[in-house]
Amino acid sequence: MSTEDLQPKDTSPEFSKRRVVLFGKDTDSIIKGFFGCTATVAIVVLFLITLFLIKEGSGFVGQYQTSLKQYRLSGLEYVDILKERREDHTALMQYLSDIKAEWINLLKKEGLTQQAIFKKVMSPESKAVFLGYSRTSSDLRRFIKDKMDAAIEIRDQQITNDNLQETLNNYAKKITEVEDYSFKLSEEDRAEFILKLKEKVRAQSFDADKLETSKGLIEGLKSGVALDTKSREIYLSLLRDEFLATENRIQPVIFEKSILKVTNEQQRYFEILNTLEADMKAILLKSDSIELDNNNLESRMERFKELNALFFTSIPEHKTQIKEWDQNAAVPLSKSLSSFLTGKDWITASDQQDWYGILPLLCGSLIISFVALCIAVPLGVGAAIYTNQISSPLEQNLIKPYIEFISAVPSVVIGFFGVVVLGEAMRGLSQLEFLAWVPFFPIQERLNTLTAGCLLALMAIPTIYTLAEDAINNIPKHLKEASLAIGATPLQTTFRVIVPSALSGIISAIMLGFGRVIGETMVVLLCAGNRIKIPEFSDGLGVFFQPVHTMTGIIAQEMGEVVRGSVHYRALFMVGIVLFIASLIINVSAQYVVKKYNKMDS
Amino acid sequence: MNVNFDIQGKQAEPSKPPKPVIKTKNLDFAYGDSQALFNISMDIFKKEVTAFIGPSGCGKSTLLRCFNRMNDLIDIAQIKSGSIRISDIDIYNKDVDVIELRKHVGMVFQKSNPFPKSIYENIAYGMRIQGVKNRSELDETVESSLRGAALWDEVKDRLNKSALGLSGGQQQRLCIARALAVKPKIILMDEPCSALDPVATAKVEELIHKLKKHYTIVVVTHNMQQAARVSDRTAFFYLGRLVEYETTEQIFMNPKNSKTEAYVSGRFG
Amino acid sequence: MKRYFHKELTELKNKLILLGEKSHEVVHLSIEGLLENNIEKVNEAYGMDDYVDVLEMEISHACIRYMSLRGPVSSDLRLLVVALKASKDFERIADEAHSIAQKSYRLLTTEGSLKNALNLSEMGTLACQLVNDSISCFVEEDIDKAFLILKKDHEIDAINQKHFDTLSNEASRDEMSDTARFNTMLISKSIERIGDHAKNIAGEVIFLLNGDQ
Repeated sequence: MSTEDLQPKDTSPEFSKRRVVLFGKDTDSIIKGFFGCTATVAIVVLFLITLFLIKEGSGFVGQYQTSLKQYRLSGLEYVDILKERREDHTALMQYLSDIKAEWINLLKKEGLTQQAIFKKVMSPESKAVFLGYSRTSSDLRRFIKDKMDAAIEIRDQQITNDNLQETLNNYAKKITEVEDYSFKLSEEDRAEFILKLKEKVRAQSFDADKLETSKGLIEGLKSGVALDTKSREIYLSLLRDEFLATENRIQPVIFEKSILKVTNEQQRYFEILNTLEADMKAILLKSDSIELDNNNLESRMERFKELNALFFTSIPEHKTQIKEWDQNAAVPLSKSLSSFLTGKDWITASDQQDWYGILPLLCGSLIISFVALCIAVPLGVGAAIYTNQISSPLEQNLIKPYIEFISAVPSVVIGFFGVVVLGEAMRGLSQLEFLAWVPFFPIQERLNTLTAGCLLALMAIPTIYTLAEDAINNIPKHLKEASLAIGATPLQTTFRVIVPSALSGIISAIMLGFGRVIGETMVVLLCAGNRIKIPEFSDGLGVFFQPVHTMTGIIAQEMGEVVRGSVHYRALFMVGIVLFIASLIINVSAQYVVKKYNKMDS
Repeated sequence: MNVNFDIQGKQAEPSKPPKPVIKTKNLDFAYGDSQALFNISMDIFKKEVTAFIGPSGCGKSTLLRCFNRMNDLIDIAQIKSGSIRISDIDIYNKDVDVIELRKHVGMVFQKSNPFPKSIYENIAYGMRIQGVKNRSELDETVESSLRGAALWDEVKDRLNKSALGLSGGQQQRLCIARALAVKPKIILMDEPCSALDPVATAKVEELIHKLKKHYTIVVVTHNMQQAARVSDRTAFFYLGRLVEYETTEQIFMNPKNSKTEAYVSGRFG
Repeated sequence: MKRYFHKELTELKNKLILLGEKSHEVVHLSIEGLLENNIEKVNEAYGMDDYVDVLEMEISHACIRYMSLRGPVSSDLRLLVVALKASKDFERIADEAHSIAQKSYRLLTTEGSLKNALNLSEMGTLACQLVNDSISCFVEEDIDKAFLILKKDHEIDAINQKHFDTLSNEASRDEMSDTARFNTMLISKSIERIGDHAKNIAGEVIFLLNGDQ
């Protein structure tokens, strides 16, 4: 019986009609469509974000070029060239006073009394040298200050003019709009109109007749009547008055003329330089008479003289540079981009020129990432190898969730911890007597590269750990068995078979950890010290104890206070683009590594 | 009537009586609470191919893995009673060096598992972990092992290419060569051909036949034809027990046990 | 690719050929002994049968062993089946020759010599040739020769029929004793059977080479 039930019925086959749910589609294709849509939305959104980033950033090049043009036209650049000598001189002065301070310290150590020291250091000969040296440049300083003020004035005038011009343009636009009969008052216009009328009434600049109309008009406007011919006339006249008033305030800057205020007196400058040289030489001669009584100090003194000699030799070059400076030299567009990418200064809101050079930020980001990775890679990868290969299941169950838990700590909390605990602790540690032998201890800054690096390492460890552990876990068990069956010890198996096989995964884990570190904001903002300066690599390892600023940090810090559309605003977007490209390169290369090794595996 | 009667067609019986190398006695083996092997006693003879057959889960692989203590990797696995002696040494004695045991008793797995390294490094690995650094010694071992696994002519021109670029059968023979490189006396094979196509399987079988001259080989297989083709003796396992262990001819032509008969003739279950 | 166990097949084949040759020898000896009145040859033929039987046993054992251990198919399997059947046929040929030898012995001992050879000589030569041909068509895998054997067998049948007619004749009764006549008839019949077996072998060779009956 039962077998007969199973016999196929002799009806038309089921497959003759397709199953349809909606609009001729079956369930499968509807679900497929849904997921396709979500994927498309995600891609489109990401694309738009990228587009926005590039759009906002790209304006930077033009604006920065304008800014650089003004820098040159207004003579600020000229002044900056002048300033170079002054700064060199200041550095030399600093060097000299360092020698003096060291001398005093030495004498103190020798057990001399305050007065004896004073006598020695403030002896007529040394006084002449130390004080005389700083006095040599007073003329130079005064001269440069004057020139700088002149240049800043020109530049400020130009900026004011630009702003006024913009207002003027706005008025002109408004007037043409109002002249059109179809114009309707918006709420904003209405309020402005009323305000202006009131001002006029208060100033009593209308004749009686007009005054009455105005008062009526104010009431009318308040209750919201439309513009009629008469009131339009009034509105237009008001606008035109404003236009003219603004136009009058513009005092056009003629750079060629006004620059003379800056560039004149070149001869005098040269004379000042010559006197400076002569004075300095005279003082240096005198310096031989100081009895330093110490080899180290004397050699430093010699070095000081060498540096001075260098200073003197650079003066002729400096002179030609000044002579050859050309106000009208063109500023190409590429100059703007290259000075962004290679600029060593990031100076904003200064009374002189603003500089947007990404190098200090890039260096900061890279050096912090380097420190973080140096700490996070051994710890993360080591922990991954340990948990996956060596530890007992119990340890595994403890360690794994715990490390993954670290990634759940909000970065601001970690940053806070860094400021309050780690930074303090490190400074405290560095001040301990018995650790004084460690180079660069005691450290100057509580918040520095190392602090931020340590904390970032803490944040990168879970990423690196999880991915590396996955990579190791994905190595087929039979490889381990094969190695053991040949007679390898478990440790040999781990380090000769498992880890090399998982290397691609581990490398990509490290790269993604790097991506995480370079994109991290809160911790670096709080703990990196935020000094915008290229770290002094000449300090050797001391470079890791210097405060730095990072690309992410600067965006977070400054984005809140910039004027939308300004050069500064766009500069921050450019930093964002650089960051974006950096992350992109890291991710793509991580994928490349994985793909390359996977190809070998299959 | 002095007709010469000695034209014996059958395979000549071994002139000497076979010598057992692996002696298993009353072995009880368990994974935690579930016992996998019950009272196994069998001798495996020198320079013979012994095949283990039986349905899945009958314990044949478990027994095989007992021979080189691969079961040590599983925490809950333990021998409850009985002993395994290889060359008269109890391999589960505390003094036994497992590493040396595994060099003595090589193993080839079901899935070919070359390391993601070059062919050369795959073979040399076993030597390298023993600390051999001498290049010429390594070269020699690599060549002899590859020749031993009948793979030399196929790969001699690409020793430095990745082993993963070889075909499945070549990979499996590479694994055999890798096992040979540490100069074992016994080779265990856990379903060495189950993932291979017939041609590669035939090559591996040929290799097993060839290796028989120098090595004692134990093969676990699901393929009864294969057991019949390559082995000298066959053991049939069922539910953790050794049902019948006899010469292959006996097992396939005239088994004594009705279960064996049913299994080899495909009337099982 | 040739596998290591394929040489077992070759051995089997060789053994089958050996069996064929042995049975051919038995036939040859027994008939020759009869015709030449050579009792020694007859005795020798009489004794060889045991060896042929052993050989036949061995072949069938090897066939079964190969079938159960090596899993042969197609031409290998046909070869085994053919070997099984052909060895049986050769064994039967040897049996018939054995019985010819027996009859001949009796004839030669009671009568002294064969009085009327009839066409036995021609018949014997034909039978020997058939057996020989059946072996060589197997060895040389010559299907035409196999078909030729099928035809030649009819000649033997015809001669046998003639012998029957002659010996059942009144005239022959005067010439030979009854025993001699019956024995001669049985010998003739045995030779005819040998031809039949040779024909069977030829049929089997055709099956081996063609793959169909």
